[in-house]
Amino acid sequence: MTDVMPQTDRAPALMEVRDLAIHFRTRAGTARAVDGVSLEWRPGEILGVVGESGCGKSTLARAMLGLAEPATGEIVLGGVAVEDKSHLRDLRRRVQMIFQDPYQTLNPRQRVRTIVSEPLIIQGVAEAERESLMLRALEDVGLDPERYGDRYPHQLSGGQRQRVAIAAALVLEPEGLICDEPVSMLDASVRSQILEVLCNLQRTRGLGLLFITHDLSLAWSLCDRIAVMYLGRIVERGSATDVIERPKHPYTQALVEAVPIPRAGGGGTRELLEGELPDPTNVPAGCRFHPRCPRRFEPCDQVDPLLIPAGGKDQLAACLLHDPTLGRAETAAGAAPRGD
Amino acid sequence: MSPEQAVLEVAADTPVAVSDRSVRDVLLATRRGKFALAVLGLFIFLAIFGDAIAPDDPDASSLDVLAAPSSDHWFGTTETGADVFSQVLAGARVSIVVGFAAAIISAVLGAAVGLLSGYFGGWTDRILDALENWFLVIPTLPLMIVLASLLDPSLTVLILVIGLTSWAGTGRIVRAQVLTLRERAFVERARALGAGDGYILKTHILPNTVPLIFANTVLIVAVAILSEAALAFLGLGDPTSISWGTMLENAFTSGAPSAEAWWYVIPPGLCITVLVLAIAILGYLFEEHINPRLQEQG
Amino acid sequence: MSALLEISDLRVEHDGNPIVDGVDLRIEAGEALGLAGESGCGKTTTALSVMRLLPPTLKQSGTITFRPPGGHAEINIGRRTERGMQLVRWRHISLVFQGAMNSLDPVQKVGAQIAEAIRIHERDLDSNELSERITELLSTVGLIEAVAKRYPHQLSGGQRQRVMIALALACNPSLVIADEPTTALDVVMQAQVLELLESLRERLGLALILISHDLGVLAETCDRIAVMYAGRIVETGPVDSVFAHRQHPYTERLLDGLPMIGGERGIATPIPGSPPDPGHPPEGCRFHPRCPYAEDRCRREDPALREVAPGQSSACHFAPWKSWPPVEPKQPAGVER
Repeated sequence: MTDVMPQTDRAPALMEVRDLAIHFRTRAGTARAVDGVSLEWRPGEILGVVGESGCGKSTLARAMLGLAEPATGEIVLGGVAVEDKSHLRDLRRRVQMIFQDPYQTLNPRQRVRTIVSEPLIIQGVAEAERESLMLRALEDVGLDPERYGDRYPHQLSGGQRQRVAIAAALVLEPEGLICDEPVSMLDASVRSQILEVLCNLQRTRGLGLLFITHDLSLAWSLCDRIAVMYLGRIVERGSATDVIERPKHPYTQALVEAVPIPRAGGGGTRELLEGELPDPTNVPAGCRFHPRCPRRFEPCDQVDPLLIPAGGKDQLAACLLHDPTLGRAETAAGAAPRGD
Repeated sequence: MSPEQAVLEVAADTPVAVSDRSVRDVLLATRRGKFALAVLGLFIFLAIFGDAIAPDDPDASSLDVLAAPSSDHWFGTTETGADVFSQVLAGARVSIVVGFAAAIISAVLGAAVGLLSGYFGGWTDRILDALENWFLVIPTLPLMIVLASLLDPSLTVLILVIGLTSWAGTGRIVRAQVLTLRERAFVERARALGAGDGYILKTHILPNTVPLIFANTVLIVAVAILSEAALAFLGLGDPTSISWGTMLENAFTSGAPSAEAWWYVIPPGLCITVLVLAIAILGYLFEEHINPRLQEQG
Repeated sequence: MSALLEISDLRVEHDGNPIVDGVDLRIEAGEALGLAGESGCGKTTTALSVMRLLPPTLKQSGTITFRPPGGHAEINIGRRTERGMQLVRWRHISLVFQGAMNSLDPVQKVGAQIAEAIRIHERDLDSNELSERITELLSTVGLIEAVAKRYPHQLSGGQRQRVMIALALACNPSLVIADEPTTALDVVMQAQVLELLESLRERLGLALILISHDLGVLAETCDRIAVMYAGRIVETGPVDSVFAHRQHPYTERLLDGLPMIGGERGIATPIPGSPPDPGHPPEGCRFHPRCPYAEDRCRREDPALREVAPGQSSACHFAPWKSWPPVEPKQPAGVER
């Protein structure tokens, strides 16, 4: 199921996912973790993928690294479809990933310098070059190689470990970095430090960031564009400000409603979503969000909506409320803009 | 989180000093540890230098049969007039050699099976698992007895038999650890970079299971020493070598208990007990040492 | 008015290192107090001290006084015996642990676990009354009766968290301490749990101590907030005042780093460094090595917590702050196009 994609005649995307589906066979049935996702990640862009846990965002990330076998669809890297082993090797060098848990992301038996050099070893970079690349990566993340190079992970704090993980991801000079909840397990002050490191890298190296998170305010604050995932599908996409400040899909609206706001008097009344994300083995018919949707109407349980233009420039939502042929054209443009 | 974890979290998020508590520190911290190390050290020393220290040839017979301890024979004599003390020293070598060699075989086998079945899963796991179950279920001592009696008795055979029958426990434990390690982010990252299975096993999985294998193997040394003693006592040991087990066998078959020749029975028995105890203490201390680390990794 | 809970000069030490180093707090009946701070600041330890649940390796000193509503006698928590504390725990003060979702017994049905909690203090309920209470508790937290017959692994994370809250309410306490109750939850589930806590407060007149590193969460639910750093309270006051007019650099830097939808985008200048080692706190003000406004005085003198505005206290030499000099302009989030 393809969607309407704006015509682009710029440089090829850093990475493109077309109609990707990743299914897992479980005892309860087939889990449709990623169920028809098309996404474009532009060079140097900070692209956010937000959604609740179980929506498939981490599976999508793994697929984009070549770690999951697609059931259908394809992955395109720099304009070239990833089909055979040499493409895969290329992918593995040009796109790297950092993970959520800094306490589990490093091999406890390896020193920092070994951890950071490992990607070079695996990818067969000449030994003569390894040292300088490793040192540069450590410096770029703000870790003095003299002080930290010989340490073991248990001698580092959470923030420092995450920096080492980033250095290890940088050392092959990738074009894109997939960050799966990179700061959610870190304290507030450390969080800002790591985000600063990532943003500096994006600026100085032209690195693209794919930022996966369930923290909407963070995604809003950091990303250029955001894609919202629900049960294996992208339900809304557009610029960060459009999607979060003027959301057009009822799910996005509910997510934004749920964000705690440091404001006087507490939350007051909010329209909160009921229930929980259904199991990916049991995707509802029609629009997959309809059972929980406060704004569903008649065709929603039969028709599976495509991503169609709604709202701002390049903003798309997979919701029948925006389908002009159904005559339910959205006037009030969803939730009122946030902020004071 | 538990209160302890709350305390640990305070420390965890601040970098700790570069030097960490080494294994040696853990062992020397308690009195038990020092005692156990001393005992083990003593026996290893005796195993190596026993020949030089022994006053007599352990096999040499004399007319002084079943004599009580004296200045000539500190631990008295056997039924053939041989010096018990010299025999005890010779037995130390056998026990140490058999114990460690069998434990190493057991560790290597157990680790290999655990690594392969845990990492690859699928049919590899199922077959190896069935094999492991077989070895776990069969009572080891009868199995050892059967094997030992079928094969020509020698120390090598003894080592093999013990090693081959005690690996399954290690295999299980290693498999469980590998299962959790396999899903760790650093393994995923290595895979994402295109690392092969061999590399991942060698660089990431194995080093993180070594502490576990080590702690487990230490206890197997103790089991091996006991098993050797048991088999020898039952007459299945190497008749050409003198071990504490064969000493006990000889003592009993030659009627030492009824002759009240306590000097023949107590020294080998005591040596077995003390050595096994020392090794067991060391094993538990190792486990304690690796446990907090395991928690951090786990 | 005498407070429901009054903590005076609480100190908790581990091996001579202070983890909590002189904390004063009071909470009124029915009030929600937020305890904010990062890992290692001592907030969880403070909560556990109130319940006297610290491990024996930690030494606790100071006075904690609890005045149960309904005319019961005052309870001096510091002086109680273990047996005496068992009468207080759960009956008057209960706790929703951090990571509570994983604290349920996996081999016992949910209903049985709630029954166990009820029976701690009410031993002579017959089985009918008991199951009525269980159903009532479950519905209070928004769960259907059938949940009682399920095992924890059959419930989702959000449901398990609700069960933990139900457990905490089992004996009708007047004070509930919730330690990071929403940390592992998604934003939607988090909002549901916070709303639940809010409605429980209203309906049952509960006092709540909510511990979280997430200032947004505290802003939603709490009346007053206390910010902790390195074992001390550095700022306290009504939640609106503290957010609108922060009086301590740490609070200011934390809030500056908090993205607020609709406001300014981009990454704020981070606070450099990391919290101090409890064994070796810095000389003078504990925050000074990381404070962009630190001056000579801060390196020498340790500021005391004092009232700087009505109802608001701060441990900063230069409070009250009328405005905050900019530290550095916000970094633009992306490449300019």
